[in-house]
Amino acid sequence: MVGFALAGVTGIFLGIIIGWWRNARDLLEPIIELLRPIPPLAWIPLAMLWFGLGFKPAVFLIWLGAFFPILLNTVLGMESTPNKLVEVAKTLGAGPWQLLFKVGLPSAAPSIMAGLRIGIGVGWMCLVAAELTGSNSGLGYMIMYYYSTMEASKTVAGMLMIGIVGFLMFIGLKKLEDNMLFWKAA
Amino acid sequence: MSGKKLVIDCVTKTFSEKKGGTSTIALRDFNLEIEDSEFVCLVGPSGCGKTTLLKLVAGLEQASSGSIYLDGNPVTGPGRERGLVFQDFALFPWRDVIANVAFGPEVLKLPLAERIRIAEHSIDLVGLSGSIHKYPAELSGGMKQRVAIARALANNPELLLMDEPFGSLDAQTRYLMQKELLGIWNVDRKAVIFVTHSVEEAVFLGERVVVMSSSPGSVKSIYPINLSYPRRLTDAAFITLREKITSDIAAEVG
Repeated sequence: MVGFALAGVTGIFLGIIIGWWRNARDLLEPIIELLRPIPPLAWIPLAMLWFGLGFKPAVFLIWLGAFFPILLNTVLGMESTPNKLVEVAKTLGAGPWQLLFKVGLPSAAPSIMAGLRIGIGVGWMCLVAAELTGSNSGLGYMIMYYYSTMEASKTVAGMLMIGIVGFLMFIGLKKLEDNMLFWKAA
Repeated sequence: MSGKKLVIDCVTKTFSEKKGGTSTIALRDFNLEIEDSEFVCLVGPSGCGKTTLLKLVAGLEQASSGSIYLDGNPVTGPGRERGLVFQDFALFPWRDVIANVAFGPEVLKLPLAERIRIAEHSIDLVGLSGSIHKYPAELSGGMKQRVAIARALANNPELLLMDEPFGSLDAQTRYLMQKELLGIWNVDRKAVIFVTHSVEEAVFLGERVVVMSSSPGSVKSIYPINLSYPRRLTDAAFITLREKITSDIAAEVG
């Protein structure tokens, strides 16, 4: 949860900057596109070296997994703010910050929500992957533990739990999204 | 320049292509003066720079040379005293009708009660009082355009710039909206620049009709329309003027 929240905050924040200001985009995009193709799982060894075992590397991996989908969707959403809306807002007297907060952000909101939804899924996968290798608690650990004691049914139970929790998070976000983006539906 | 609401003085606008280095002249030496509370219609073949001209007046584009003055002050950027209405409405889809209309007063940071009062007044003017809490997705084209007009009016602009505002409406709605616009103009007496490709619409609405020549755009001729409101599409004088202007434009295209 901490990792996901961190990813949400950093991803949306950076995404807004990159998506809204061209200069920021030119500067930061190469760095991001270099780091993005590295699968979160490939970070596991480094995460353990940096943060040891337990809670911290898991937070790092979740952040890593969730960060990119959130970032990219935010960038996409900000970039695709209709120019007409920006122009009309300008003629109505909106300043640069008002354009960002009253036009850009609400216009990007559906895309940002989609990013969060993908991000939470990837983050959850990363969490379980982290537990499989570098943890001594959690569902991933439970699967590995019952694997070592050859209890297939409990391993499957662990997998199902992962699925169910992921599904519940999906439902929760979907509800939130429906409440926030009601204007899209009608 | 005294007494003139808007002066467009010898404005040229060139767009340079990013690739290849060729540039297009959209407007060349465009001159036009508009009186206080005057209703001017701009017609011309498509691609003659009508929209470019409106954007220049709105301050969304900068002239390559020449100047535009509003009440004697040069136009340097967008401003709330020049309200803009697009053909495709450009409503904020995440705001309901009243919040759309209140956008101007809101960015001006007026107190909430004041914003609501202004917005309700504007919405009343366009006859949408029954739908203030609807969202754009729930509105018909005509209603959306009313919201866009109300939103522009809520800022109490000196000058209303309308870019083919009724172009995407069906004939019935269009006729209705034209009459309503004249009604609003009668009450409000704002100066209006109304861009359209329909000569009939231009003659029906405008006190003067400006015909533009194409590529590069400039003023070809100006027709004063000395017919009293409300005008009838079937009056002999109306038809004569319409035909005259139509053939004027046709000569330009041919």
